[in-house]
Amino acid sequence: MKKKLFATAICLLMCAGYVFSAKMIKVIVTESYGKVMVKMNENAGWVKCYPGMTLDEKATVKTEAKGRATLMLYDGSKITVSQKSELLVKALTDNQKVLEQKSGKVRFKIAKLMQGKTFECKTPTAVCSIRGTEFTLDVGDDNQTELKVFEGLVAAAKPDGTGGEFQVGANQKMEFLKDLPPGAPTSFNDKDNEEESGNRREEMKIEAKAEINMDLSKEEVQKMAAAELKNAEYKQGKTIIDAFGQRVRIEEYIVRGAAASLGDNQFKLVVLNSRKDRFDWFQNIVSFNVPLASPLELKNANSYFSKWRDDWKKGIRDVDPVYFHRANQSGASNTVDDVTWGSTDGHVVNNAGTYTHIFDNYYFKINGVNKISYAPVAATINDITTDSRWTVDGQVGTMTYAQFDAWYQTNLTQSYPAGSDSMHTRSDLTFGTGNTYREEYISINDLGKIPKSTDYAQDKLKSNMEMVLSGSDFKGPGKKIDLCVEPKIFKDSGLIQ
Amino acid sequence: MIKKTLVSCILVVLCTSIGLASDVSTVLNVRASLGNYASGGAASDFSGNLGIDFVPAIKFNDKLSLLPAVYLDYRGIKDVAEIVIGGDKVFMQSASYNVSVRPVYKIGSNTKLKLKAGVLKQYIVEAKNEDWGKGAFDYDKTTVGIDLAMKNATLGVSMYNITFPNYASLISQSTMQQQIGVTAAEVGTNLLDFAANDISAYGKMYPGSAFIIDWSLLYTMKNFSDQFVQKEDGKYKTDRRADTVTAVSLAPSFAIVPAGPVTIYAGLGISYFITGSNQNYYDVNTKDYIEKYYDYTETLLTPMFSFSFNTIPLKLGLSYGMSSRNYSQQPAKIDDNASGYVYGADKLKIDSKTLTLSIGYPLSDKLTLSAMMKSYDSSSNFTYTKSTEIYNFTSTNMYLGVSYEY
Repeated sequence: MKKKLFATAICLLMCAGYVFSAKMIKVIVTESYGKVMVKMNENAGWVKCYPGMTLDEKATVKTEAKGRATLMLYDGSKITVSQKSELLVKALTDNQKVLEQKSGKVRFKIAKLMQGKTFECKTPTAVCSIRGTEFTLDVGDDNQTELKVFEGLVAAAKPDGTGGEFQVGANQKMEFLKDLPPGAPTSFNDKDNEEESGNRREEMKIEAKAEINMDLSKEEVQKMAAAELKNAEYKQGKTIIDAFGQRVRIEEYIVRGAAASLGDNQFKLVVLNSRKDRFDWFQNIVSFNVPLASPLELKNANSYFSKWRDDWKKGIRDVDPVYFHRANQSGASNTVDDVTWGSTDGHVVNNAGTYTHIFDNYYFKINGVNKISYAPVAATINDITTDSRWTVDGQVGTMTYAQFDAWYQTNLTQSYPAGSDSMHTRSDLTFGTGNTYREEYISINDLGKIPKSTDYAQDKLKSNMEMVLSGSDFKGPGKKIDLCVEPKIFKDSGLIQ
Repeated sequence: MIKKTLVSCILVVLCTSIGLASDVSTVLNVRASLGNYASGGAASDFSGNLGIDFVPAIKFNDKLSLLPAVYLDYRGIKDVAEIVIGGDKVFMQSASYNVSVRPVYKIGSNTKLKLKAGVLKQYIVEAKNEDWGKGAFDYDKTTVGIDLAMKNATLGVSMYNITFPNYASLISQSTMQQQIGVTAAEVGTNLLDFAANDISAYGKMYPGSAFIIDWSLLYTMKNFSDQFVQKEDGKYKTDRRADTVTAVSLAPSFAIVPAGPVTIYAGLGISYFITGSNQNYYDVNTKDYIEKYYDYTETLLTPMFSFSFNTIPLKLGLSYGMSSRNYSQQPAKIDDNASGYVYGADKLKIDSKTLTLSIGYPLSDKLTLSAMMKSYDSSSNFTYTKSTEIYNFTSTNMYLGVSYEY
């Protein structure tokens, strides 16, 4: 409503302004360069002339050296007053317009007149009647007048009529000297033609400059439309610069339904990364304990369980979760190699009013080969430290949780390539087969800058996470999987805490 | 194909025209500047901007003329509004060439019919691994249009196509669409490409002495050829995105000190924009669905002053732009420790202020020395401050350069 009122008010203002302007204006100063003065009437003093200034009858325009002014009459006639010139607007009615040029050179481009209307330009030594034409009058130091006609016809005579009236046509000129009868019009000579040609070119140049300005303004508006699309992509995190200065384009999708082989309690989140020379992708399939009928219920279930987990970590453990994960499975790929990991058979254990969410099974695979996994020692896991049995690639038999933990601590090397205060961590693991695996997590802002750990700790989710997986089992581009993902997605997939 | 045809036509018209011309007048403007930009206490390295406008205006007779135009532009200094939004201090250079022809036909003493056909190629390099011509957001624009220019007003209609040749949906580049469960047929391929139709009117009014009002109206319809509208569940409709932009501007200006050694012009730019879109947004992270995500209105008020002096040919300019953009549906993201951000109850509102100071000093008839300083201050109720989503920041840039007009 407010915006409609605003738009209406602007339109009304414009219409009112237009009507107002149409009634009032007789002469407008459209251009003024250098020193240009105006006297509003015979008794007024000289004041500076400005573009947009409006003049009426009896106004005089005077230009100094290097000054120039362009006037537009309400009928569209255009008058260019050159340097060191003076022009008086003597009469300006609908039927009669009279201009008096006292000195200097003025170019007139007079709009076609209706029948019965007159337009006269007077100098000390000549009177020109015009019907719609283009010409110049040049008044010299001795008041001699030179008339040059470029278009149409001008009837010219001495002010006292001596010598009679002459019809001066296009490309003709005529001179009026003080105290001498006028000679007949003569054709332009080469110098005149050259001068006229220069004038035309200058006029064209002025028009072209105005066109350029308008054109560039329009182009700028259209450029802004393209820039706005680009900015929106940045704002939505669809494009970032990674830790290595490379552009990464990111697309994120949520997938549901039987067409994607998903049950009504599941959703799949897909993140695609594209760089100049590589394509990586990540997916996370979450299965809830109950069907999620609507997009809103999915959102609610997701928020609910996310909060429940956060509360659990804070020690709030007396709430039996309404929604929880039955399974949470993820995969990352560079289109050649894939790393998959997941937890299945999730359930809630109630231990005397303390509720814990546990998965019965876990796996971590590289290119389909099981590297680390656990399964319940009996039917289900109530306590992971006692009820799980672990398997590691290359290690014979299974391990208890304590044995696995010991193996893990022995075979894992952690380092900080960018310094211990920087959010770039590297974990190297050597399996029983001797094969190696490396996980690097680089917290980066959208410009690929790595925050200090103190800054990161203040808000872990404000940085993007670049995850680089590599190892001796990798064969694809760069022998790595390189993914930039919003940290919340990694958090939801169980990768980061 | 359209672009090549258009370029060929422009060249043929140009060559033929020069042979038939009765007069040719050339406009050549060259602008070169050096400068840098700063935000958050860090300044960029010095870089440069260069702009060249070349228009050999051709006159055939009193009624018909032709304005072929070539505009070349290189920018190494980011504008203040670009410094943070869309990429903070992303390494950025842009360059463009723009070629057009404008036949102008004089219908009456104050009425002209102007046609326009043109092509623009914009290159944008924003990352170390992007080469010229390979930028993700490079785009091509082809334009055709017609204007009817009268004494104090111009009416225009134009159509333009913008295509991003290096930007296609990632899903369309994947061979695993079935496996992923999302196909390019659902999402679209050339997501950013659009065709626009503009209707415009602009002109000047002279309501009083030394008082000018520049006004303009613009209505643009943008149809995205390959971007489908998102649904509540994150999937896509078969409808394509369509945006409209309505812009109304008024700029009254007048001389406020008509005597003394200093001349001061005062002006006030007033603009109002309404952007509407049928596109929605599904946030995969928070699972939120936001209808009409891109709808906003924006009001821009810019008081402007320029100073010129009788004794020296120095010109000073000062302007202070105040803008307020209000999204009608898109909520502001606010910080949330658990999930990074949540959408707040308030709709996104961004206010900005731009202070511009400029100085121009003519070294000769054709050469002008100029300097400019811009300061930008943006504030918003968007408190989630991820680096590409910073709405609360200040930035500045400075230029020193020369312009040459032939």
